Amino acid sequence: MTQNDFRNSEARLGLYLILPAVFLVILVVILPIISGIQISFTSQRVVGSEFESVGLKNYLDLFGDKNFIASLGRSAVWVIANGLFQTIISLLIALLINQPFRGQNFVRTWILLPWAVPAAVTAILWRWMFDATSGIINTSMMGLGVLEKPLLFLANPEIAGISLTFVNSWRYVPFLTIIFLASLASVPEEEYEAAKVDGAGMWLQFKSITFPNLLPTLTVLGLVGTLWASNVFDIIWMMTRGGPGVSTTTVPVLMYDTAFYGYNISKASAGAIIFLLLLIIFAIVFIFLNRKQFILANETFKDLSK
Amino acid sequence: MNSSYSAISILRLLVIVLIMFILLAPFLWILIASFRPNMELVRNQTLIPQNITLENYVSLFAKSAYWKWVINSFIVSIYTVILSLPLIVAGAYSVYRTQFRGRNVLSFFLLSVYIFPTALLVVPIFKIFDGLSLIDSHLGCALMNTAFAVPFGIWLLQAFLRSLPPELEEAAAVDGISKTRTLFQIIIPQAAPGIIAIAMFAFIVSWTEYLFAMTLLLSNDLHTLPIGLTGIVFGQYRVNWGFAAAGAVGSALPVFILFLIVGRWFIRGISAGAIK
Repeated sequence: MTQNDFRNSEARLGLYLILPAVFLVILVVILPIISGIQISFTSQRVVGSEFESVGLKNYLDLFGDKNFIASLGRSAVWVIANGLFQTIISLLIALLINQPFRGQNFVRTWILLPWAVPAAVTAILWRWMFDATSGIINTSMMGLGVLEKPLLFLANPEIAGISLTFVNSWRYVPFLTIIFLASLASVPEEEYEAAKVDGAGMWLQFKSITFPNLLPTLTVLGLVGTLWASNVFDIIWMMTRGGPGVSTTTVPVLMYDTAFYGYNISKASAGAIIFLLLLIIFAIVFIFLNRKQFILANETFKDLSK
Repeated sequence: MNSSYSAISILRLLVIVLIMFILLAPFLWILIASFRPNMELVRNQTLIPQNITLENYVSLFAKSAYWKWVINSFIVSIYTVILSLPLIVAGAYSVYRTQFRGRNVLSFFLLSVYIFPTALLVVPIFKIFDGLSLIDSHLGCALMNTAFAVPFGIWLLQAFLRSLPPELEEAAAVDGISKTRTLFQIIIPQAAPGIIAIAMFAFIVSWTEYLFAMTLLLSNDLHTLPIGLTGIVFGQYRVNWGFAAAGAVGSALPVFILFLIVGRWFIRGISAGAIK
């Protein structure tokens, strides 16, 4: 066998091995997007019902729909609050538990529990903790005299969004923390040694070594975390169903409701496509603004896969 | 200098304890609550239980379809693990060890799954699955979970593969053993801890899943634990918190046991390859 034959057989093997996964992703992501675009140009109300082509009508309707525009605004606030808050908190916790301490192994394993239980459990847990009459937070705060009246964490439109942001962060921060920890472990120890010899303090070490080394991970997680946050549906649906009123109705919640409770899948599909386009534009702008970091992350990826 | 340093480390430990308290105390609190009568939870709740009862577990085990939901959840999760493992092992080996044009593009394409908002894809997915007779089927549900477990699983496992010592593989290459045989006889046995970690990851992805199960499983007989449980708990005007607590414990317990047994491996599998 010549060198070239060997290369070819290796290339073929590599391609065959990854193709099944690629086909599956095409089946559940690419085909649905194409199908969603098709549905969005029709008047279809439920799956299987009759319909006709209506061109851009669904899109034009949505741009004149105050509910939809408002839900876009709420999604933007939700994404900024969750994406930003979670990334910063996760990074701080990772820095905090990176240095050895007694119980470090316990913390590193069990910190993930909130991420690993079903969202349904999270929803039950926090709906009960937040409950006005029997929730531990309200009863203990009132018992201590901090509060006179119970705080309606989920029933007050002004704080429901904050409560949901807290619960959603409670769920995802542990996972992001573990990813940051893995990244911290890859910072070369020698750089710290050299800095210590030069007499650099903790803040200077962070500024000149830790942070630059973390920046590629931070940038990638900033993007992925933002997209994940925009995607959140289950926690909102189970805890408030978008309420009280429409105060926590983000785009995914509104579109799900429109499709399955408003029996209008074509309008829901149009909304989904608009949202998807906005996310793609955001991703492109984000990647362009941070292109240096993405190139760095990509180079590391290439180095490692050599 | 020394005394201020130890003051900082005590402060650090206190903050860590506080964080872990916020993350874990709700579980302990709901475990205690699940053994208290519902009346005690609704009115004049005291910190220390006045009465201990099994009534919540009796209504969960005997009066609800709990066991059916558990079996359904297990079926979907086992399907997901069985479907995911070969795809992940093959994909990870491809990304980690073979060279071909388009490899980087394909691996980034796989990770782009996470960009697309699932709640918004659910309508066309319903339509496509309807045509494939995958509605109201555990397999259809597992297929969705698999698609969302595989890309991250590949990324995780190839990081683990990179952390393995290369000597055995190099020796096999020198002896002229084919890549396929190397995969089965050398890589897979060596990567066993990493494979256990991704099996656990796939299981958790499926066990915690809510949206696809809610949309794709129409019959009550097929409902998974999260769907069945929230249907009863949140379906009533007044929530029975005692029952809800028992249900939450009954849903979290399998994951808890899994963590107890293989939790450390999971963390090791994730942090094995240095991610930058």
